[in-house]
Amino acid sequence: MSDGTKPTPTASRSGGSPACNPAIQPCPLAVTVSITLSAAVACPGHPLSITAAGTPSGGTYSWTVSGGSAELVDGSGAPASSGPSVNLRSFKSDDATGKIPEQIARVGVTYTHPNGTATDWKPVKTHQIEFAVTNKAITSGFTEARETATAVQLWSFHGAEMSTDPQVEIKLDASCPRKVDCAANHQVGWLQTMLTDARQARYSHTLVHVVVATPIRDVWNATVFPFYSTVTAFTGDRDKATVHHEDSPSFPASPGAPWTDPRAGIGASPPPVPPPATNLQLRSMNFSDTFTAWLVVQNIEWGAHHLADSFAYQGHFDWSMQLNVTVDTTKTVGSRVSPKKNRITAPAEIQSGKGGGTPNLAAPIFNTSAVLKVDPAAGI
Amino acid sequence: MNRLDEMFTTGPETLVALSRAIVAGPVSHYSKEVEEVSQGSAPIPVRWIISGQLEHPETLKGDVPEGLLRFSREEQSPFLPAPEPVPTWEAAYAQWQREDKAVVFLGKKPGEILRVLPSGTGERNLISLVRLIVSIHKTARNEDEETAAWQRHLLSGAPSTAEGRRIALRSLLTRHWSDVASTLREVMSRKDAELRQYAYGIVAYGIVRDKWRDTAGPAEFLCTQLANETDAEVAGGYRQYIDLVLRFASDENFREQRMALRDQLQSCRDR
Repeated sequence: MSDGTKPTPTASRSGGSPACNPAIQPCPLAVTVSITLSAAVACPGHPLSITAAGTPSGGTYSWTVSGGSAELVDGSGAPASSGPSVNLRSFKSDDATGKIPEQIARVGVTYTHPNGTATDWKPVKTHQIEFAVTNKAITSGFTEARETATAVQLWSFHGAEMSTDPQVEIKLDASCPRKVDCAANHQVGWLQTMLTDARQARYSHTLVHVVVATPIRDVWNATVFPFYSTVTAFTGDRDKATVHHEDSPSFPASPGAPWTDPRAGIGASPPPVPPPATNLQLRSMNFSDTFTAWLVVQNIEWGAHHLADSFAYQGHFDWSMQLNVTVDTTKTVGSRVSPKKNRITAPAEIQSGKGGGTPNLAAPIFNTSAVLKVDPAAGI
Repeated sequence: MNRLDEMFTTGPETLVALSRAIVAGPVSHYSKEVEEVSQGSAPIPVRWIISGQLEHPETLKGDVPEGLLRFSREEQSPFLPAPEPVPTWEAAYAQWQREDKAVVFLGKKPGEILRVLPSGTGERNLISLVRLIVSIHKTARNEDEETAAWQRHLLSGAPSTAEGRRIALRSLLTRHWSDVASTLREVMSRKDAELRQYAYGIVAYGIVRDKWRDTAGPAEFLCTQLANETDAEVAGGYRQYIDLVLRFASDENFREQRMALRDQLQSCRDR
């Protein structure tokens, strides 16, 4: 694979001096360089150490790389293109299938010495990884209205509104030189972006509404940025992980929206008291959300440097929920809210690949970014 | 923790078990400091801090801590999304009411306060509920005796809160199906629709979490109770739990083993 290990005398390169004749004087030592890989095959996202040995000593090295997502870095992960050793790392997934395809990079080095220059190059293979996803069913539950003596809450009261438990198996290529470590460099979890959100409670003379800029990242019980919830690292080749995902949007949080206006008696112009009996009373609530969720395998080492490109998309789905209700507080508790429930909208199964959307990976999340606005409103 | 596990495995008994000591009593030096108000032209309080001092505390569990016990607790408007998950059972205690007493759950480390919750009357009487939990923990010599005590509590007709009855139902998950089936059937004959739904859900949960080796009995229970249910709204809730079990039974890795369960529930669900 080497194409430049022969010496290139400075005189010849410049063309201004006569050719070396050892019968007259000793010729300069020939300049050579050769590349050595620390392993025959690289793992996706993991640095592969590459060393060049140039002779005679005292020269400088200049590295290049081409092909796919491959890059050369130093020990700390910063870009590198000089010195006798560099690391190659490469990771690129196929958004349509979720596979991490094999890549071949061409790594080259030029060794420059006062006696001349020499070059060498080598192809470096980064092996492929495939994943098998089973149990793709999505359970579509309900958003329900629950009335108590003091309030009403829109939520799910029979388990999650949306849930799914796919299983993902990692399948390393046979050529992988470090199977346990390579598998452990991949973790599987869910990303979710809230695309739209509407939450309003309308009292006779007051509008209470939640305002948030969307799209926004969504999390629940998250432990690792930017995942929605917990993540699981693979433990070896053919390891299988069940990756639970669920969400149960609620409005309001417990104990719910009080039947009477929270603005009652507050401020210089509080809402009018009864009569009529509808004054200060909750009249309606609107609650709807839309989301996209992605089932992803993240290459952990690649993610430390290229977060947005560190995911292999194993599946995705769009889903939404809506429960808009009218409220009549003259009725007995249990009969005040209509309709009582609405099924969420989601496909029957997780769909392949990344789909048309892109997850929001910015730091802000819905639960801590939403603000509450309260305004007077025309009487109803 | 996912919503299903949270619904059927956690409650005040979880917090009681975590606590080294629990004290309760009236509150003096009560204050409510508003930290933030809403946006818009008619602002209302959005976030506030309740603080106070426990007067004449009653020890519900463990040793009485020395000195005055001061506490504070952050609350927020329910209209704002909760920043962190809050256990469902704490919903009744989400907002402090002026006359509430305080229940302070102390952790293992000296001075560590795990949680401060208000205790009111009726369904919000947390002090009575904690007393009941602690007394059953104390008198039972093992898990079986504890479950038996909860079963007696459930069946005795003694005054109880909804959460007390739910704790009793949760304890049944540790017993063999044959030991709990008749208790569950009795519960399902009651007028309390919320309790019936919870009992039905706990049987579905027991199946999907492999609490019982043989699922035929619990599955038959689900089918029978669905057929007997006269309230269409409640029956709709039952079907959601059957859907949960059907998904469990459709797991591609256990398709063969769970085929009978799937067939049994599919036929009764669509009946």
